[in-house]
Amino acid sequence: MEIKKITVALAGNPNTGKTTIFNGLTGLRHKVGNYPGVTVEKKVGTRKYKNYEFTIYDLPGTYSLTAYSIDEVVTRDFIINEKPDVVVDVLDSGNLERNLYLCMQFQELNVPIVCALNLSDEAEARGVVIDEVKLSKILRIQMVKTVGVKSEGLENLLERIIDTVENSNTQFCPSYGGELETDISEITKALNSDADFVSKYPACWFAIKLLEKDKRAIELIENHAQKEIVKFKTSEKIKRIEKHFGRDSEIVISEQRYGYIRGATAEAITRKPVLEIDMTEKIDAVVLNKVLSLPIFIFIIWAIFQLTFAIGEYPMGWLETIFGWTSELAGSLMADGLLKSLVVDGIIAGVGGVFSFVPLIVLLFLFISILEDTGYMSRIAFIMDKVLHLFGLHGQSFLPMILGFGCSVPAVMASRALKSAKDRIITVLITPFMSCGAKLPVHILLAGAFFAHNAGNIVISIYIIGIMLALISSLIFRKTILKGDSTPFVMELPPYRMPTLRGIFFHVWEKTFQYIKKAGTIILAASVLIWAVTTFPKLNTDTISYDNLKEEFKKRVDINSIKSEMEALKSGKTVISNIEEPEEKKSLSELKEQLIKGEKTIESAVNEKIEELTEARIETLKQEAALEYSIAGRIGKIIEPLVRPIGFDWKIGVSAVTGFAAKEVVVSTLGILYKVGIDETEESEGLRESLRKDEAFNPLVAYVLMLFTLIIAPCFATLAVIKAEIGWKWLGFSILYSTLGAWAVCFVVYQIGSLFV
Amino acid sequence: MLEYIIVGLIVLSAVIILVYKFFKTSDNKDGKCGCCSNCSYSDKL
Repeated sequence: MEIKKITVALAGNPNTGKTTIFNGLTGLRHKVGNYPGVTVEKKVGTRKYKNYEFTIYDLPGTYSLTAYSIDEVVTRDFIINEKPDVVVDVLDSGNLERNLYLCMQFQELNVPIVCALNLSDEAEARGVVIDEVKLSKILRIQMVKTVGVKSEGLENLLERIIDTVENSNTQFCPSYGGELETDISEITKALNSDADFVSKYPACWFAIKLLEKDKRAIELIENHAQKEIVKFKTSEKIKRIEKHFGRDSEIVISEQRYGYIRGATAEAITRKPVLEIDMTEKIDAVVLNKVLSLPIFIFIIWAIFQLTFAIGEYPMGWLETIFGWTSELAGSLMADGLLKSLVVDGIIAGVGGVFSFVPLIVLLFLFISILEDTGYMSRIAFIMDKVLHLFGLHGQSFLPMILGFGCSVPAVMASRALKSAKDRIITVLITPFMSCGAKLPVHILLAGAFFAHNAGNIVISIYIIGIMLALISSLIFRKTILKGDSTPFVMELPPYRMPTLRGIFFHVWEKTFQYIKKAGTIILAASVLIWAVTTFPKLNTDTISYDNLKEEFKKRVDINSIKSEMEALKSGKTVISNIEEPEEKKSLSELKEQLIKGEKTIESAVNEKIEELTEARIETLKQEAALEYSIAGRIGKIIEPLVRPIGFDWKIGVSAVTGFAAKEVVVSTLGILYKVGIDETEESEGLRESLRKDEAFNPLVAYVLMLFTLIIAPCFATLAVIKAEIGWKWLGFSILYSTLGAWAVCFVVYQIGSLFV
Repeated sequence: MLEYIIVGLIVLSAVIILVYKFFKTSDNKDGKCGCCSNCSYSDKL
């Protein structure tokens, strides 16, 4: 039997569960969030059912089909240009009147529609009883009750889609009252004089858009064969409507639509009195309380970071040990040479450093997923709304900012939902200051190495500085290059929902999988490349004489202190059993025995120790000389004068700059650069220990490096998206602003910090 | 010599991967960041 193809566009208001229905229909696992604006691009999936193959497009959520914001234009253009066989309008059954407003506009567009009355279980629990059969008859649209999260009603929805496609012959434009009807039909008549034009744009819909003074419609009318007549008619009708109703014609149309909807819903919806205040209101009374809301929000975020670090520390340590063993194993199995160096110092050190953070990533995104899925994330936006307005930001900018904690790429794209171009540019420019998940490993590494007892608080401080910088930057832009007031925004607060285990599992899995995949591709490639630039050109250190340096070093060694150490060892004052390192324990025990038996004198033991320290020092110098001779060393030396004032030596400078590939690469680079000059036992203790032992690092430098990584221009993936969203000019500005800003902030922090440290 | 050739090829592959990822991301039209083909709306870390 022949398979028939049906194209379905899934549309609706934000946060009505479109993506849940999309996932339920297609079996895909796209991100679902209990806050508006999750979908910023159309997504596609397929479903086979009976003898039909459905191609389903998930469109961004919109409240109307005006041309104010990009997501509205995406939805509108898709329906007009792609002409899907049917539009499935996903409605929130609990807010039917507002949701049907968009539905009316689809009807004006003359496209076949099926309505999914989603979240019908929640509506019924709140006493809203919908007679879908009656509503279908009144509005002349097929209605199906669905519960997306439980996949209820989806087969019925597919049946209604098939029925609508097979039997759709209705050309129905909703009635907006006698007076307006005459005006609409006269403009429609004028539009119909150009058959080619009305084949592209439905005449009834276009007439309404002209009366609404829709910018895009006014532009398009220039292509009409009888444009002067249409323009004259439109202007005449707008004047008449505005004179008659005493209001703007756009408002009149909107009121008529709502009037039509109210009439329909009054017939088909009954509301049972609900005596009990529902759970959402009870929780909101506390978490949105004027006094308590901010402390609760801060406590939750603080608790998340503390828990993440407290629990994550253990599996992270295990992974570090495993990578230490892997490194030792690879080192013992492979013959000395370039390939061994590539595997041990390049791949294992670089990728292993990044992999160790997987447990923390899992935990952090587990908590964030719970916040998202319960609906608390929307409350955070609500709490922050007033604060954002103080800094000239639009309340809706908070969603991109929140997404920015995950990744700047979707965050920058989410700014499309903002209607004003200035709001959008400001949001795109400040979003990269939100500390993304890729920067997290850098913060965790440095905070763990230098602030072991306060790691959670230190990382939170970086996040807070990121938010503050974003807000201050917004205020600066608003007062200077992007003057103007932020536009008002009504925040939608979805009801609290119990997150599903399946949903949370997929969120966390998706994030973890992406992290691992990235470690296996971009970070692996970057680690290989960084190894190459830190290895070539090779310096033959054997030809360099270190004799003078040896003598110089021997002179500087504190002989008395070594002598006291030996005497303490011989007399038993040094308690060997307290030493943790087995190798060190063994060699000290042997030395003690030799000293007691008189096989070695104190003097000879001191001389041996001096010789040993000198050799180790010379070896480190050789490796450092080779590193400085390499491409990375040369680049590092060039940029060193620039990064010196912020406390970095050339190695830290090179590490900070490599974050351009992906922010985790900063960790990989540190892993590769700081494997230099340490012996095998130390190597197994991990990168944190190596950094702690390096002279160039101290807690202040570590904190400045965290700040630098936070503020400097984002990774190339984000830069590519910024260019796509706001163009080359603003991309250039963004790079310049963030790079100079990073340097300036780090300079101030380092210079002031140096006075105290 | 063989070791140099193998290492050279590995480094070259790394360069190709990075250049490919950069251009794939620059050509971003489908809402993906180019880091992987799995994500729904480029929600990478």
